[in-house]
Amino acid sequence: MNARLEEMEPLAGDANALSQILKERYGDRITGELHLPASAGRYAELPPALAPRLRAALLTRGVDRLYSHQHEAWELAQRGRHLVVVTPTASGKTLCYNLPVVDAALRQRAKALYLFPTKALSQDQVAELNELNQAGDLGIRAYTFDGDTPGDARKAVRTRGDIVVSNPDMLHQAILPHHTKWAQFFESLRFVVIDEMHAYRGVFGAHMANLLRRLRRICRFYGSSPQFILASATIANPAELAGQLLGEAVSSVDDSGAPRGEKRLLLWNPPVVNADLGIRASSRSQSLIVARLATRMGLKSIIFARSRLAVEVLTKYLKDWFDRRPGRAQRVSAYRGGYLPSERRATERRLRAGSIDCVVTTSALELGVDIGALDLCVLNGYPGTIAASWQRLGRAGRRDRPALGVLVAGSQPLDQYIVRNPDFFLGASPERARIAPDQLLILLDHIRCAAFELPFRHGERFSEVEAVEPFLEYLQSEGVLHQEDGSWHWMAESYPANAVSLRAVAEGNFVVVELTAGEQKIIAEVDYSAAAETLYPGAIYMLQSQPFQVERLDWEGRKAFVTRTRADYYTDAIDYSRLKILDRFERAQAGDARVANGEVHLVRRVSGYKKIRYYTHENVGYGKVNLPDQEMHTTALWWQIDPDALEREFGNRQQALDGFLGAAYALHHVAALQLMAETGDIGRAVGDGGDDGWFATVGAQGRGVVRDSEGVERSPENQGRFRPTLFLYDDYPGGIGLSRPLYDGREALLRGAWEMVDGCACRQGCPACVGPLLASDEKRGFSARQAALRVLRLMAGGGAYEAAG
Amino acid sequence: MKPLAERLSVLRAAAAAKQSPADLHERLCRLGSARQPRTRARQPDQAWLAQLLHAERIADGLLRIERRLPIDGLAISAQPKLPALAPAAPLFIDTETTGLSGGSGTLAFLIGCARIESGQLLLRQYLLTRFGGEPTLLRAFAAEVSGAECLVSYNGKSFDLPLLENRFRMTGVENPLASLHHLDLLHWVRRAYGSRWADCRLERVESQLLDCERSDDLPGSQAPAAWFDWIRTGEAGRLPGVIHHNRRDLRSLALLLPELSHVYRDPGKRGADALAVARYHLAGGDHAEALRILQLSQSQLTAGGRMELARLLRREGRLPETLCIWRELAAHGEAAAREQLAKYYEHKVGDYHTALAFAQQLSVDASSRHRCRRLQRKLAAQQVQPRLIAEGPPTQCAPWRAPQ
Repeated sequence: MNARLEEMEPLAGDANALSQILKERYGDRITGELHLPASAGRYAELPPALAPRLRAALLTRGVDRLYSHQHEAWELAQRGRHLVVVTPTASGKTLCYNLPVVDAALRQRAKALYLFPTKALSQDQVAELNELNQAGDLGIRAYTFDGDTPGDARKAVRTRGDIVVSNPDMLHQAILPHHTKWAQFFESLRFVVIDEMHAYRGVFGAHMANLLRRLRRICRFYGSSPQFILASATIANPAELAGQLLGEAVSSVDDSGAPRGEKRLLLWNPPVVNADLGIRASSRSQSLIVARLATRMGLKSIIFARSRLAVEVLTKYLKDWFDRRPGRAQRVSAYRGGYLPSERRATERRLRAGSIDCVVTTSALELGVDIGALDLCVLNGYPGTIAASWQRLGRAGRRDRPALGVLVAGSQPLDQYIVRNPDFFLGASPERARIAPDQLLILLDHIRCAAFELPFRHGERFSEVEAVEPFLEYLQSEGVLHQEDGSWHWMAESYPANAVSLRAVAEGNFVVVELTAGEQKIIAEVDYSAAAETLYPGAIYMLQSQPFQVERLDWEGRKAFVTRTRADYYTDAIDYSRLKILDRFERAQAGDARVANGEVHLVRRVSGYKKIRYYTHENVGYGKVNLPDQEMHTTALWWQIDPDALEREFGNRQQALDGFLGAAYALHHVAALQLMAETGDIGRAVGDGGDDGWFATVGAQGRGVVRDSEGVERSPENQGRFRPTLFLYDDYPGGIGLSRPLYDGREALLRGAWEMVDGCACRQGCPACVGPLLASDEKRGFSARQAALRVLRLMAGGGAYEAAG
Repeated sequence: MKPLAERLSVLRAAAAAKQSPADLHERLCRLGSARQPRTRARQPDQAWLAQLLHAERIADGLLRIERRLPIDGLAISAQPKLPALAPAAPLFIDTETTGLSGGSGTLAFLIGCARIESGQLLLRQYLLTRFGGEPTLLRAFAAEVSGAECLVSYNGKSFDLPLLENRFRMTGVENPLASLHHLDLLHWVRRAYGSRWADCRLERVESQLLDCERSDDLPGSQAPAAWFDWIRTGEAGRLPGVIHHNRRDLRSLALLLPELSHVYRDPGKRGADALAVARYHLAGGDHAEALRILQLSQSQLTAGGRMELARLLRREGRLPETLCIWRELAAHGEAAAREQLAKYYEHKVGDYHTALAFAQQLSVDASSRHRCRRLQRKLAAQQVQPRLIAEGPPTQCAPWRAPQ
C-alpha cells in the first residue's frame, strides 16, 4: 500500500517530460518514434468580395485574416465548385464553409443545409454560427432540426431558417419524405455542407451516397442545384470519396495553413511474458502505466479502446487507482456509445472545463465533439486503420504546448505488424475510404424511399444508376409500386424510410432497464447488432465501470432487465457462424484447390459466455445462452481443397481442421491489412458450406471442434464428407464490396498470410500468426503453425513459397 | 430483357468481363424474400365502375358521385347558433387516403364535399380511378372550394388539409386552400368531451351525440387496401363500402355543426364538460355566457367548476352566492375555497379569528405558514376576544356532491 501511495505522489512536467520518462524507463518497449516539430501559420487577407457586414462581424470576433486554406476554399466556392476541405483538428475548418454560406445568405437570402453525423455536433455548430451572427448582427437564422426539435418549432425551421443544421437520419426519415413541406427551403437551397465526411465509410457511406442521390433528385424537382462543401479528417482519398458520395467531381483543399504545436508519437510493444507461447503482457496493462504517469503529472489524457467492454475494464482499473476516495470529484470518466445522451453531454462539458483528468472512450470521441485540447492520447490497441489512428491521435495537441501519442500494440497480428514495422505505420499514407453505393440491398432500400418521395418516370436514372427498372419491377412484385403510363407510383400504406436505418441494417435498439426495489429505470441503449453479444441473460453489463447483471432479455420487446451486482468477473460472449453457399459468381482452380466468390447465407449464434475474473483474467466459468439466430445474406470468397489431397497431406482430420482454422485467422488479418479495412468489416469461418453441413469453431480447449447444424459437437473423423471450406465474408447484410477485391487479389493474400505465419518469431503458433494456443498443444508437440502453412500452400495450388527474408 | 451481364455491371462498381449467371431479380428476391407478383384479374374498367357506383365519369381517371340527402336535423336550425359555428357558406370535406403516415407518397384517392342547398345536403364525391387522374381530381376539388367561404372538417387541420396541400405541391396544381377559413370540428368536440369520452372519434360522436350507429360500415382503416385492390386487380369489391363510409362521415359532419351550437349553449344537458365550455366563452370575452352556462350546469360541476362559478359570481358582485359556494366547498375539504375564505375574512371582514380558522386548515407550506403568522400577529394587536361564528350553510344553496 505504501508503494502505491508513493506512486500517487504528483510529478511535474509537460508531455515532452512524460515521453522522456517513458523512454528512460521503458526504452525496450518503444519500437518507433515520430517527432513533428511545431510549425508557424500561413495567412491570407480577408477576401475583398466578402459581404461588408460579414467582414465586420469577423473583425468584431478578432478574425482579421484567414489561414491560407480558408482562403483557397473561399476562392473555389466562389467559382461554384464542389469542394472538400481536409485539414487537421482545430485548423478552422468550419470557417471554410461558413464564409461562403453566410455570404450567400446575406446577399441573396440563399439557404443552406448542414449535415453532421451526430446530433451533438449539430448543436456545437449552431452555437458557433450564432456567435458570428451576434457579433455582426447579421440576422441569419440558423436552426437545428433533429429528433429533439419540438413539433411547434418545426414549421419555423422549415420556412424561416437560412441555415438548417441536421443529420443524415433526419434528412432520410423526416425531411425528404415530407419534402413538400420544405418546398420553399428546397427552392432556394444553394449550399449543402457535409462535415466529418470521413465518417461516411462502409455501410454508412453507401447509405449516405444514396441519400444524397435522393436529395439531389428532390432539389431538381424544385429547380435548385446546390453546391456541396465537405470537410473531412485525414484520409488518403478525400476527393475520391467526396466524388463517390456526390457522383460528381470535387476539388480538394488539403494544405493547412494553421499553426501547429510540437507532437510526438511512440509505438509501444508490451513485453513478452511467455516466450514459448509467444504471449505478451496485455496492452491494457501498458496503457495503464502510461495513463497513470500522465495523470500524476497533471496532464490531461484520453485513452481509446477498441471495444465497449475494454472501455469499462480500463475505466474500472483507473478509477480503482484515482477515484477511490469517496466525496472527491471523479478524475476518470468513461464515454462511449450506449450511454444516455444527457450523460454524454455532461462528460463533454466536464472535459471542456478541464475537470476530468482522464477519459476512456471508443471511436465515439473520434468525431469532432468539442472536448478541448489534451496532452496525451493513448491508443490501447491499433484502431484497425491508419486513418482512424491519426484521427484519434489528433485529440491530443495544443498550439502552445507539446503533445504526446502512444500506440500500444495488442497481441493481434495487425498490432504486432504495426509495432514491428514502425516505418510502415509512420510512413504509410492513411487508407482510402471505400464505399459501394450500388450495393444491392442498400440501393434497393433507397430506390424504395425515392419512389415514395417522387414517382419514378420511365427511363429516369437514379444518379449514376441507369438500370432502375429492374428495381422498380421488383418493388412492384413486392406490392409497393404500381406502374401506370410510364410512371411508377407508390402504392402502400407504409412509410419506407422508417424501415431503413442508415447506421445498421437491423432494426430496433435495445434499452437496458435497471430493476431496483420494484422500480424500472432506463440506463443505457444498445444497438441491435451488439445486443446478442452483450445482453444475453447472465451477462455482466458495465456502465461507468459499475457492473450490472442481465436478469432477463425480452428479445421481441427489445429490453434487457438488469440489476446491480458486485461480481468480481466480467463476461465475454462465445459466438460462431455457419455459412451456406448460395451462388457462385466466379470460380478458379489452382492445383488441388478451388476458389470462388459469390453469395452466402450466414447464421450467427451466441452459444454461451465465459466468466473472466478481474486483474487475473482467469476463466472462472461458462454459461449457456439461448437466443434467436441472426441470419443474413452476404458476399464471400472461399477455398476448398480436394478431399484426397487433404488426406494425403494430413495424418488425421483434426490436424487438417486446426490448419484451416489457423489459416483462416491469418488470412482474415492480412485481408484487413490489404483492403485497409477494419477486421470487423470482414468475417471468417470454416465449415462444410453445404445444406445442414458441419462447421468448425475454436473450442474451449483451443482446438478446432466440429459441430453439426444443430451446434452439437461431433468428431471430425466420423463425418461422412470432409471437405473443409474456408470463408472470408463481408460482415454486412448484402455485402459491401470487400470480397470481390479479395478474390481478385487472392494470390497476394495467400502469400501475405503465408509470410506472416512463416516469419513469426514464435515456435508452434501465437496470437500474432495463427491465433492463441494452449500450453497443452505446446507439450503435445503439435504445431498449429505448420498445419496452417500446409493448408495455405495447398490453397495456393501447392507451389512452394520461399521463406521470408 | 437486357442481357444480365449488362444489368449487373451497372450494379457493381468493379465490372468485370465475366459475370455470374445470377439474375438480378432472383438475387433481389433472395435478399428480400419478395412476394410473388400478383396476377392481374382484370384490367380496371372505369366505365364498369362508374355504373357500379352510380357515378359519372367526368375525366379519364376521375368519377363523380352526386347525391342529395334530405336531413331532418338541418331543418331545425331556427335556434340561435354560436356565431363561430355558423359560417355563411360551409363546405364539408372529408378525404380517404392511401395511408395514415403522411409524406409525399400518400395521396387522397377520394375527396368528398358537401354543402347545404335548400334544406338538403348536396354531396359530391370525387373518386380517383387511376394515378393519372390526380391533377383533374385536385382541379375539380379546387372548383368546389371556390364557392365556399369556410371549410368544415373533422381532424382536417392536422390530416386532410396538409395532405391535400402536399398533393397540390406534387402535381403543380394551384392550391386554393391557403387563404380559406377552416373549421375543424374535432377541436370543438375535444374541448367539450375530451375529459368525458374515451376518445373523440367521429364514430363516438355519432353514437353519443347524433343518435346514429354505424353497423354495416367498412372500417376506415380498410380504405387504402380497397383502393389498392382496384388499382392492382380491377376488383372493386370494397370500394362501394369506402364511398358509403365517406358519405356517412360527411353527413355526420353536417349534423354535428348545428349540434355543437347546442352543446356550447348548454353543455350540461348534453353531457359535455361545462367548465371547459365556459372557459371557451371566457377566452372570447363573454363572461355573461360563461356564468350562465356554469349556473345552468351547477349540479354537475366539479369542485374546480364551482370555484370558477364562484369567481364569476363574485366578479358580478353577487357575494352571498359566492360565499355559499366557498363554504360548501370548504366543508368538503377544498383547499382553494378555504384560502379564498381566509382572504375574505381577513381583508374584507376583518374577522381575523375566522380567517385564521380557515388558514389553519390549509396544507402547511411557506405561504400558509406566513398567512397564519400574520393573522396571529393581527389578532394579538387587535386584542379582541374571539367571537363565535354562528352562520350555518345558507339554505338557498343547491346541495352538492363532488362528481365521481
